[in-house]
Amino acid sequence: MVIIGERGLSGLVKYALDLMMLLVMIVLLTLPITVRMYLEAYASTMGENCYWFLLVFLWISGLLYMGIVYELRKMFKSLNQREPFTRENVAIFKKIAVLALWVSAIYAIKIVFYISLLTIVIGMAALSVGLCALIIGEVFRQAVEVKEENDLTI
Amino acid sequence: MAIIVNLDVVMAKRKIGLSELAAKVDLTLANLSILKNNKAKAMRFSTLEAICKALNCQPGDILEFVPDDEAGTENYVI
Repeated sequence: MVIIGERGLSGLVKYALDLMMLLVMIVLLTLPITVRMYLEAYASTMGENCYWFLLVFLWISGLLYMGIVYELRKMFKSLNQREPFTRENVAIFKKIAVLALWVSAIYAIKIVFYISLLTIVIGMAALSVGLCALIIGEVFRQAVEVKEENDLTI
Repeated sequence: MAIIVNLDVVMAKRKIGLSELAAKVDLTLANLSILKNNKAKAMRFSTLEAICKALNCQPGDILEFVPDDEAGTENYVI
């Protein structure tokens, strides 16, 4: 199977990201209702403060997550045109790193107030995604330099 | 850069056009333009060989070393 290309794996992943973007939007818009339903079903003893905290927390982390998906979509567009080593992609990796590190920071704040195992897992995952994106971004920057050198060797 | 590519001079002497040379040395027109306009950072021996063969000249006819300060003043004239 072709890995990179409009009809290859990266093309499919881009469509998956489009779908994910749509789903995140739907989840974000219906959040006030779903959080209320969740609290009534599983944690009816928690007060109104908990509702607002969860709502704001999920909204912020959802928006950050949507930013990550949006940046990934941009990168896959350039991948599908078979031009992976561009300065734009280096910038995209840096943006993804910053967004993912913010997500992990917000999850860390949530751990202080309402601790749960899943929160720790997702926070750790976001932290490792952020650090990996930072490093892969630097690798891409070096790759861009090598590519420019190679392009100017006739 | 201190190395100047004098490809245009040799091409004028041999009365050969850019596209004709590109076909002879099997380079794209874009890459040959980069070389001719001194934008290239490096040159493969195989390319040098092909150009020397096509233009029937020596590498020294195409490449010239000019110390940096002289090259600077030349650029200002241009």
